[in-house]
Amino acid sequence: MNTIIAQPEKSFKQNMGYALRKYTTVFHVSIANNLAYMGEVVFRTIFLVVFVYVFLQLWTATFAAKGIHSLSGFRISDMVWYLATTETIALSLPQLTRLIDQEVRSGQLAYLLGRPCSYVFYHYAQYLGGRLVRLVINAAVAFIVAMLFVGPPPFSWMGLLVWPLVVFLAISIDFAVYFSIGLLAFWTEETTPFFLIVNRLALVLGGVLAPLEVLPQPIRGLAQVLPFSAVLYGPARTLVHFELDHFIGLLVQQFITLAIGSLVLFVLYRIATRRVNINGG
Amino acid sequence: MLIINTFVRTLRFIGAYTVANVQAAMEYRISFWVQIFTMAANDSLWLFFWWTYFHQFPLVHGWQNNDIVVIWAVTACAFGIAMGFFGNSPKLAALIMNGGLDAYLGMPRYVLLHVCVSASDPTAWGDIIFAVGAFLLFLHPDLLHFALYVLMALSGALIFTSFVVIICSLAFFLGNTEGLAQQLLGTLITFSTYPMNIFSGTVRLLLFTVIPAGFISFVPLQLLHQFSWLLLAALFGFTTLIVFVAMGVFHLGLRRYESGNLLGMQG
Amino acid sequence: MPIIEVDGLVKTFRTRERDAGLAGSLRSFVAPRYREREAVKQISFCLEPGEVLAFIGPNGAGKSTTIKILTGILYPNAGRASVLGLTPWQQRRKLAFHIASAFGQKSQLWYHLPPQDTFDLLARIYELDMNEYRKRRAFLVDVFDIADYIRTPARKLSLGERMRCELAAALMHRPSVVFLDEPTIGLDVIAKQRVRDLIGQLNIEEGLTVFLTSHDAGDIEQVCRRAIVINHGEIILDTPVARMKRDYLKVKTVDLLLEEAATTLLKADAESGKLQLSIQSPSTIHEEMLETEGITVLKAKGHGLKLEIDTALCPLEPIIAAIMQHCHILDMTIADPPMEEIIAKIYSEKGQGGSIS
Repeated sequence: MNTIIAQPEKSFKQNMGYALRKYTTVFHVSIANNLAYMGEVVFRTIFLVVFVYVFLQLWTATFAAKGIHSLSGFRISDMVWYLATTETIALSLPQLTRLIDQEVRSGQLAYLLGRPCSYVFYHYAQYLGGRLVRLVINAAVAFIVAMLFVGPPPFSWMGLLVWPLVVFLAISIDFAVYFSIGLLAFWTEETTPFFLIVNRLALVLGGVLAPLEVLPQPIRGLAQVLPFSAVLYGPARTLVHFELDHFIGLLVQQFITLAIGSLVLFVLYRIATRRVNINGG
Repeated sequence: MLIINTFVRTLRFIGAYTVANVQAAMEYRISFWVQIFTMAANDSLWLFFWWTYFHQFPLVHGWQNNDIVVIWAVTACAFGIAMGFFGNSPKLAALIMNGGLDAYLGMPRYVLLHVCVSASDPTAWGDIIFAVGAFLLFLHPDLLHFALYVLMALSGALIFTSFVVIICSLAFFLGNTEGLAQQLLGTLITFSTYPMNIFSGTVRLLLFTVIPAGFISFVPLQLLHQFSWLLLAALFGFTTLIVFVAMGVFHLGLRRYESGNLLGMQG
Repeated sequence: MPIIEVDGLVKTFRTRERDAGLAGSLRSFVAPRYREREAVKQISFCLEPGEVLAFIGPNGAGKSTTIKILTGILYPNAGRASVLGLTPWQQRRKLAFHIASAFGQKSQLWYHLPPQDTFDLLARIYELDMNEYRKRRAFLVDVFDIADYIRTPARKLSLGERMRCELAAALMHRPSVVFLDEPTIGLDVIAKQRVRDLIGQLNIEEGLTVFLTSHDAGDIEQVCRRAIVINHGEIILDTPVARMKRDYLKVKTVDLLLEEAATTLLKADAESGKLQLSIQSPSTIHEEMLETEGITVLKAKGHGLKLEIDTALCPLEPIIAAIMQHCHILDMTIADPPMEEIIAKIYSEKGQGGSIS
């Protein structure tokens, strides 16, 4: 059949090449965009500093009161570095759910679906760019602050080596989760409550304040069972207190969580796009 | 007489807006209740965490076990009242920057108050429910102590609101301070929910002045342990002071706004 | 007794100039450089109660600055202004009880609530007596014909319905003067007409003084009786609308898409070489050519023909009829000249800095 637009057959490899280039461009643009607003991001680190400070005082007072030097193998300095790490990750979350929610509601989604690139991957690239900028700035500030407060970090070489990998998996899990919640905009009037629930649970049960071992019992049991710890506790502990079997366990947990998250994401996305096709946005 | 009249009219005004805000939120009934429930549940979870923590690791220097409940109950209630009744105060910076203040200037009401009551965060009701519930559950107060608690939550609410207004009003002079306001508000809440004992002298000074966490949770805690008229007067004195400072800064800024010479703003 | 008096109003904006970058910021902090912009340069006018004024000018002319001064949002550098006997920037809150402003783009209605609830809230804000308010509300609901919508959440209303509710809200507290900014923007033709009729009706029945800014010629033509044109901060024309219509609004542009090539209707004028319409006059007994005085050919390309017709000299209908007789018209648009064009024309005719009433 003769089509009006002559389209040379592209090989699979070529297609992949184009796609990759497309998304890396989005990624770069996102970084540049976020760097332009760097002032904003630096402001946000105020909270990080305050938080680390408050907890340093708390741990110091606690340890002194009990006359101990370490808790489940964590010294005060370890705890502070742990907190610095979890907060670096936790505070780097961009406004993904709100963005998707708005795009769904405004019909922007329907419009973007017409573009020759995957809506999901487009946002993934954009998200990664934004998150990366925030991660780096948070990390820099957190590093300086923790260093000033408690001295050099207890990181091991192995921990540092694998850290990018586990963080990458962690933020990818975050993407799957928060993107899916954003897609709920198709069915609910407000996605904010769901976002808040998940985000807050992820903080408490993800071990943002202290390693799970330190948490008091009922919470500790719950947290160890749920997948929230794959995002905060896992990577932080890997960095601060690297243990091989723990690391392997974390990787497994992250892969499984990411797989399930991605599955949920794509199922929701499928249903959502079908809805767009029927209702016209 | 005139003062009472003005007071009553102001209360009616705040009441009318609160009703409208709640009605607007109830348009999405499920979302409304989910938000309230989640906030209350979230607060409870955190409080439970800390309560167990302080049981396991009791601090010295007069820190009792239920004290953590008290400071959480007071702070959460104060914050809930602030965000429930004056929930639009954090948006003041944005309103200043995008000229949204004009609409309020065309209204026959005191601008600052009008801006603050124009919106409400439904999660605030969750904070209040949690706070009052926790207070009643853990402390079994008598009527007098409960009345004192409510009074201090109200003064805390005024402190929270004034704090936000001051930082947002700096937008009249410095440009967009919305992000800064969010950060500092978070800081204030954080400092209000941890025992003062763990902080050093210099920091404590800070907590009674620039970041008035001391007046939001610490002073009320002392008052509930051991009532003293002097301390109560200090609390009310500070609250009055910060409210006046907030009004003053806002008015200075408003004058600037009315000249039209705001940073980056053209008629 | 004029309801609005403006005398020698001057407003100059003084903003700090800031270069980009850190060095620039520091420099501006230490040795600030100011940039002055005269937004309003000595304007004076009076408005009597019950007048309906069109306040016209392109963007950046000083319109919104003037209105903001009159409503008390800004204070001027020099000059006097008095609205209802009050100085707006000094007695703003008192004045606010008696004036109203409605912006076409900004909404006063609460998005999630039915307009009824917004009305109730406004009653509380303006401290209206509840009985009076209920009567007033019933009256306005009737006049604006919004009884079916006031219990529907505002977000579910169409733009036209919402605009009528907005106006009702603005007028709930019986203001004496209402400042309307682009009240018909974005509305369809029917909705526009309704809004215009309503404003006119309230002006006649209640003696409401209306201060209208609009870029829409239809708003000005149909609703207002007097027009003040402002440009570059100065009043360049202050005239009854009837006269303005006579002088400036009589030209219409007609954009046609024809079945045949446009050139078949045209003929080059022997003297000027310009293309002119050359067709038979519609349904005449003798074969007469159409009078083309007052018809200018703006564009003729392919099947498209754009004419400018001076309706004072020749009415539209015969021209259209003549063209229709000649060939099929596939599409036709008749437009008023854009406000900017009228202003530009007024301005160029009035020259620099002249002010005529």
